[in-house]
Amino acid sequence: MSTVIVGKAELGQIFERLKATFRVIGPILDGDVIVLGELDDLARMPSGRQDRQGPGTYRLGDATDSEIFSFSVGPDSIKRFLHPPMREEYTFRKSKKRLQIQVISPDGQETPTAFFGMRACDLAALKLLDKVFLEGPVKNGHYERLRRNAFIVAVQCVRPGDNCFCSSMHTGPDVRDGYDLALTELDGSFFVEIGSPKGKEILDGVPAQPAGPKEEAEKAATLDRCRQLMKKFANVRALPRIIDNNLDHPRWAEVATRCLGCGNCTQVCPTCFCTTAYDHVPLSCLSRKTAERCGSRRRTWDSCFSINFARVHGGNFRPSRRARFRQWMAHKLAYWIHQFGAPGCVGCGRCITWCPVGIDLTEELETLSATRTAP
Amino acid sequence: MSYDPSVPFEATVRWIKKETRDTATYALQINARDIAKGYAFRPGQFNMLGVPASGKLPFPSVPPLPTMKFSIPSG
Repeated sequence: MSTVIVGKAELGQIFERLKATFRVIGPILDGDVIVLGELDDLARMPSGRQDRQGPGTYRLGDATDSEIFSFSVGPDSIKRFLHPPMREEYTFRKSKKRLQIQVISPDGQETPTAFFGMRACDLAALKLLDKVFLEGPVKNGHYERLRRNAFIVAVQCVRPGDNCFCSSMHTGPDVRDGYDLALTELDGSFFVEIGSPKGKEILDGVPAQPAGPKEEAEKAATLDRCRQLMKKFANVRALPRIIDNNLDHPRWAEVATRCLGCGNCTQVCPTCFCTTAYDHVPLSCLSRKTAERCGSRRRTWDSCFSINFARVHGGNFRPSRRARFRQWMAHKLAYWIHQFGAPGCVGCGRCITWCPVGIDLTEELETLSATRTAP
Repeated sequence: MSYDPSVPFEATVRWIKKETRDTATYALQINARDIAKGYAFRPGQFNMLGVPASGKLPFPSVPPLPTMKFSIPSG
């Protein structure tokens, strides 16, 4: 992989070249929150704004430094686009004699999407979603077609968000692979790593100099500083043991008194992938005369915090909030390892920020490990 | 597995046997031969049976071909 140096003023050129080929999704402002959305103009990116995050809080203010990528991650992740919150899988029309099913699926002809400004945690999460949707016994065709067309412009974090702990999860802050282009914002320029032939093509015609050891060192120092500034930590080496050995820990009951069971954590988590499906039948589709029925099968994000999630014939096997919280955290940090070979947490801190009562995953994990009840 | 499990396929009700006052067994046969041939599952896996616009129900795995038998409370 080659690396080049591109002036800060040239970012606009890279962006324009991207826009010529791709629909660009990137950080934009929605009210007082930075979300991911259609980025049609680089000027719409909230440069100069900086988020202050804490358990259960997110506030946007002016940045203290003059970086272009002055902000950290908001509630959205790539998941929203490759594994959308709601999609129609097929439509159906049923009469007395016939049932017709029409599958709705991306056909690969859509404008391919470029994800602009993705962080190391986002790419780590994408790798995990690939494991779930592409590497299991059954492939998710919808995800596969969108994923194949995705172009990734990653950004190395120069500063961590206040709830970040990617360094201890070994998923960041450095972007290592899985990108087409990766930008590190240096003092007066961008250190650009080219990760694919497609990435190289985008840089065609953009003025660039070869990167030297000075810039290499500056990039390394930037990431080191980011690592050192990270305030939160998760003991990933003790996983899945801490969870597996503490399923009866009294802390689960304690956290259940604080948890509202709203499921925000699962919605903002870049790797939570559970869905449910139902038939959407508009009133206009019910004909009394002909007994015709039509409608569509909708698949939507689900959450293990939903009471119905574990309801089966005869009862609910996770009837309490204690059981539901434990399932969420244990799945993230232990069962994922048994299931997919890696924890389902990338250390992005979104669940901490967007929890309305500020439950902190790293703090819960710390409590479990400090007072282990079983060897 | 050759088919996408999120896409349903049609089956025909071959016969219905009333078991008790409120339960009946439905024998279903998958219409498309290639799907019927490749239709397999492991112990503990579920079948999802639905009637579009009416609802769907999960069923534990049942002995496979030539017909699948589901016992449904019909009350």
